[in-house]
Amino acid sequence: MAAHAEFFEEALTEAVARLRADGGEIVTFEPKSQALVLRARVRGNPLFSRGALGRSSPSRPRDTGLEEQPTVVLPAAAAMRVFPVDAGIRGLAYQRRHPIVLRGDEIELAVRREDLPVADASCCVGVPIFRVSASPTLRPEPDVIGVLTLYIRDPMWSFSDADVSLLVLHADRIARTMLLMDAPREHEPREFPAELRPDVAPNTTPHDDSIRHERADHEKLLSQLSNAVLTLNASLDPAITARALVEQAALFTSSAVRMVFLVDEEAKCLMGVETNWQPDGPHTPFHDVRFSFAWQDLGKLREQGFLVLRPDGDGGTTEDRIAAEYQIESCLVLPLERSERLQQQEDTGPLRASGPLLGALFVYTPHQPYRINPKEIHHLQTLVKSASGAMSNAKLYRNLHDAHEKQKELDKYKDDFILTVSHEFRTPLTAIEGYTGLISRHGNKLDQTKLDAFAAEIKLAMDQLTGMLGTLADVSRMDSNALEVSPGPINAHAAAEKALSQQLPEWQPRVTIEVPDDLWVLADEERLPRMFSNLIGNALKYTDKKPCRVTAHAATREKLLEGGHRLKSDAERWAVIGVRDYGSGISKEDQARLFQKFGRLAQSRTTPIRGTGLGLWICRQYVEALGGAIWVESWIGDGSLFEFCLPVADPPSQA
Amino acid sequence: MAKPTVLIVDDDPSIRKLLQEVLTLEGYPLETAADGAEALAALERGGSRLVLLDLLMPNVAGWDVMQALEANGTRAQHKIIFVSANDKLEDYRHLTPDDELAKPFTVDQLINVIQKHVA
Repeated sequence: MAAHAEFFEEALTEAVARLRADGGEIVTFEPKSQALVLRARVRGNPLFSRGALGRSSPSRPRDTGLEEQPTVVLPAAAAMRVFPVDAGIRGLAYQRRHPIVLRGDEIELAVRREDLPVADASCCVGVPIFRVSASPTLRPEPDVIGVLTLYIRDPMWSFSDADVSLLVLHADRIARTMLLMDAPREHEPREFPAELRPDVAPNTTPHDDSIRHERADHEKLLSQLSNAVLTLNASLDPAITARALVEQAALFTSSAVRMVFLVDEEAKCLMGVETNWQPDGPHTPFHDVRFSFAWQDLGKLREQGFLVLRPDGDGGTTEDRIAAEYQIESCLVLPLERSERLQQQEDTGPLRASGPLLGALFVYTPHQPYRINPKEIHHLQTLVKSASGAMSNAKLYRNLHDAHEKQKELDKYKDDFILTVSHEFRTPLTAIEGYTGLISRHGNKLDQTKLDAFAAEIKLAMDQLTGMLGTLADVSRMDSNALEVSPGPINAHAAAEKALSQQLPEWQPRVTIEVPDDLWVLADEERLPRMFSNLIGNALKYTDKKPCRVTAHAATREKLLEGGHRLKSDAERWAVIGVRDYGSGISKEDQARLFQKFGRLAQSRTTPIRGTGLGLWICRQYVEALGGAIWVESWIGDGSLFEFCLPVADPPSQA
Repeated sequence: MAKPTVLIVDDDPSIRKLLQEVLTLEGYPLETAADGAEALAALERGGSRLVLLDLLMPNVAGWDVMQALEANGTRAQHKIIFVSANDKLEDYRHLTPDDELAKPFTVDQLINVIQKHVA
């Protein structure tokens, strides 16, 4: 009994020390056979432990410059209490045979509070400890011999997936050590034999030798496993975690296995890093590989928890394809799953899950039948279980990080956009304010020609404001994907003329419209002039040498598709309309950004060209809504040609 | 007293045109420039002017003009009035215009600010 107690104490201390949550916890450990319960208090970071254990830790001087390490306080053996095994979280873990985590209200729903040894727990976890057979098979029948249970009182803390993964690993370690300690009479609950206590001097019976030998092996394995877990959890980058898994997996396999792969869920195919590891040969560095392997073919993987592929030789299956390509006769695939799925899954074995896969470890040997011993498979399974937590965290972190960065960028653009839009509004407002002011100040001395000219200026400014408001309304519709167009036959020449007439009178001669009078396209009556307006406005803004040209030519669907343009409309006859300027041209890099939202703003703010940075993005939305496409060609020093295509329409019948 | 020449510097033709209309009716001799480079060229021709200077312009911006004048020592010859959007003016507090005018402005505001600097 004493040896067990010492071991459990040690195991607990280590389990708790490894947890990321260093708040105030109470820990119990309970092997079924002995019904022994140990309680430990964990005092960690005073910031978090304050209130958790009903006391704060103000006594520690703040200016020592030392970080307070989490400490574990184990009460004397006399303070131990025994709880019935079927109570609370431990009972659940026993029955369901997989890790259970309950948080907040879930505790009330799942168990009776009075069944918990810690009545005011805010989060609790129960991790079943499975008996490990001395000769592990591929899937040992899970036999629960104890439950590792932990309670947190601090509502600020909760057990993370990584914590649970660590506990699962730790439970496995406890089971292995118990197997060794119980080796001589494995199935009887009994007093631990004194001569087999770890601290007893070695004796010389062959039986003990073999046990000691096995124990040494296990210790080596355990330290390897804990190293692997540390390595896997060291990074929050999924790619690095994947690489670490492959590397660690290679360390856990011995002679037969040559290569290990990772399946990337998002790429929907097998790709990852490959290693060609040999225990006594050179360690070939990683290189990236890719298999054409349909992800749905891994359906069996979800059901079984593992998969051994064997090609049937008729050439029709994915296995056959891979086999032919990579000279594989069979291989082993182990899934990486989101660890919370492990907990949610009820009434199934400990390793089953049907949730989304995070990837899979792919093990095979080229040029020979796959051969790996069951022990190694078991180790790989343990490793993959830990990797699931690490990968889950890494992916979660990456997603959060990406979303945060994207939001930050968007916020910045929106701020800039509001600033720019308010600036854009000032020019027409100044014009209206100015001309009305002039009329009221000098009204009596102004002749009719002057008054007409001022009225025309006011009208122009009003039109500009109206156009800007229409565009803003469209932008908001595009943001919510509610942009509706009503395509009908529109005369392209007239639309271009209308757009030009809205430009400043002195700028108008700098544009020549070469679109035929009789060209009708399928477009939107409001939006086509607005597109012209944007493109012509841009051309005028960036060019001051030769006049800009608005051109048009016919094109077939086939020709446009050959040019790599995506067309949503099935029309056969198309018109390609172009706006050519003779400005400084646009570099290839900037061209790629042009049609993106806020494309111009993204460049730089040192050259203050006015505009919202939305014009071309808006054009693209319009033309795509009409089934066409827009693109740009540019020559540095000689300007750019913006072209878009729209289906040719028949002229409307004469009314 | 003779009215000084006013130099209108703005890249937006509609604003240039408006200022021209207002100041012609007030009887000021005028010059216009569409960007900072044209403005500097006009100022190099000698004489002192009252400059209505837009800050946000392509190529050579308003603040570039200010810096160039301070560098070549002719800043003091001229009265310089910034004409720009409010939110932009605050970014250029380190430059010292003789006055500033925020868009959109009224005709009265424009005339008052100019008369203030016509000695």
